[in-house]
Amino acid sequence: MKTIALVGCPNVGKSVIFSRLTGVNVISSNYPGTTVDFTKGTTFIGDEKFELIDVPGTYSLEVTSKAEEVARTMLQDADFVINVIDATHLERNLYLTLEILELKKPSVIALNLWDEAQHLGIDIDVATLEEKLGVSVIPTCALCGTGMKELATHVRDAQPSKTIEPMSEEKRWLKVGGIIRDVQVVHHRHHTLKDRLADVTVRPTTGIPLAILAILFVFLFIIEIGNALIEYLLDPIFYDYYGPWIVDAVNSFAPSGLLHDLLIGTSTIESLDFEQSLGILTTGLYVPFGMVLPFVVTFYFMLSLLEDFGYLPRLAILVDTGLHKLGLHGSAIVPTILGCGCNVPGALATRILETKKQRFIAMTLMAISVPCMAQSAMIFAILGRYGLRWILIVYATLLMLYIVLGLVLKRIVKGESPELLLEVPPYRKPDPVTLLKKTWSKAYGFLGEAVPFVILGIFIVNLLFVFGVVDTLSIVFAPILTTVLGLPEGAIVALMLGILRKDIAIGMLLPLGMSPQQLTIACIILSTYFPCIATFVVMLRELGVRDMLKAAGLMVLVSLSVGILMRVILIGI
Amino acid sequence: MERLMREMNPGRDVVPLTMLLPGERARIVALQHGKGRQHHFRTMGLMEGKIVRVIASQPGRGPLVIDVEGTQIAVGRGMARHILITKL
Repeated sequence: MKTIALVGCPNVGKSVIFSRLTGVNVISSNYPGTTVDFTKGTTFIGDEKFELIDVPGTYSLEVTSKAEEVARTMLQDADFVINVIDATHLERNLYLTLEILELKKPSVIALNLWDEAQHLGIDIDVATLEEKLGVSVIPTCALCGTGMKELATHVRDAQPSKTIEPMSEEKRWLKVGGIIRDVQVVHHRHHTLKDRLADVTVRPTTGIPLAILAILFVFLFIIEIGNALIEYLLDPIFYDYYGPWIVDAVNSFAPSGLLHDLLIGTSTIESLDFEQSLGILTTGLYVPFGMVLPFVVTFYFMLSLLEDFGYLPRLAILVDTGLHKLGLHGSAIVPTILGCGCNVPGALATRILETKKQRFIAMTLMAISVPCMAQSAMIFAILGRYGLRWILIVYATLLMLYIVLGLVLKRIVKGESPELLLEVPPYRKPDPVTLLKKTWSKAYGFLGEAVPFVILGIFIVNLLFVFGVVDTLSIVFAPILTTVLGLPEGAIVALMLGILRKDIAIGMLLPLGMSPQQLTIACIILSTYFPCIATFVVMLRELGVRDMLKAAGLMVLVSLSVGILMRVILIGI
Repeated sequence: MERLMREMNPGRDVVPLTMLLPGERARIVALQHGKGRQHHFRTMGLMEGKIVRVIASQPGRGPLVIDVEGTQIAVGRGMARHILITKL
């Protein structure tokens, strides 16, 4: 099978073209560098099957970074090349185009965002551009699908460029300038509403208040809509329909005994208890579906909206000064926000930071003080019933930890913390269909991860109780838990499960009958002491064994200190 | 070098980009960064001869947000200091 490499600068719509050609859904965002790993797919052109490779975005083929090296190797192995260029930024895209054409591979150029360029008053003479470059140039609009068919047919007949020969870097820039003069005319255009919004959102005097409003709105939206989904949709389903049915069904073949307890725990028709019964089919399904999913859905809907609209880079600019004090820079806000959804993509997204020091600080701070949405949902659920105050104490403590630890880590971690250099994409109107697709794929991904682990967790807990392991562990850890932290000794079960998943771990606190003060302390400790296994694995891979050990040591130390401090503040000595 | 630039832009001083206030426009006359960074700048459309406008300047020595031919770029002050311009 012959291969086609899809190459281009970051954020030009390569991934959309990829999914158009292959039918495979790829997540695209209005943020540079979405494609960290490459994606492969197959496509039929006529009746011939081709393999299509989505190469990570790069500005150049000169090997100065890992991404460029990957791009170059993939390109050299491919039989055909589709170079996607952004018609609204022709000049800066052409440098890479020249480098690609110098390789003398059969190539075609997709002049993407063609509609937007026309909108902006940019005229490009496609025929002259084809003549200068010596290959076919196809105007495309990946989002609406225009030009895709033509692109596919031209790839098959693609030829290496006859006009472009290898040249020096300086000559290449001159050549780019020359081509631009010959093919492009930019008409003056008036400031649009989007431009004005773009300016207002990055000026500190207006941008900072707007950012605070935006974050507040997002936060309230997630909580309110999440709660409404639980109250009006999920609780009725669980309590009125699913609950009676499943209890009946299980009772019909296992009225009591181990199997009964394992499946539905202590639930009966009269007193349905989804939160504390600890049955695989009761608590095991209610926690992921009934308590966490509504918030995960609303969170990812809002995140996708902000991403596609193009707000995140603006937020990065506004928080840059503050994050510099923590040894990071503005871009670190992206992994942090992703971490609020799930720490795993958050840890992966720290790759957008340039140095090892920044990545170490960003990942460690996230693992300690950024609770994932699953964890947050459970914190809302169990602390919310005692009042907003307790939830605020948990989050204020975590925020303070983030700041204090950052200030310390900036000073003690060796290495560089470079400055921000970030291209700010224009605001784009989010496409509702893409938005819903993205939200769905994230929610689906969450269920795939969460349901098996929550069920496994509940299974393990049941075994621990049956074999009396809980009692032994409780006695062993009682000195630390009871004497030092003021928690009941049974909290050890939650701490153990927290290594598997944080949501079910917080759920395990419920049957212990704790005071709101104790619950608050337990939630803070569960957030900080160690990441869940999935995050741990990713961090280990990203940081290496040595740095992971350092981070883990810090987590345990910080968690214990904060736990003791909060005990003294909330409960007294 | 500097003399040459002054001759090219008579009556105008060559100053770092950080001297520009929000709303002001200038022409880039030189990039004084290392080779790699210079290349990176050029691929973002930031190069000699281009007109830049400062959109915003973040407080506390924060980054500048500049507009180069419709592309907005946030650039840290340390890097911006090595972009030389003449005000328009």
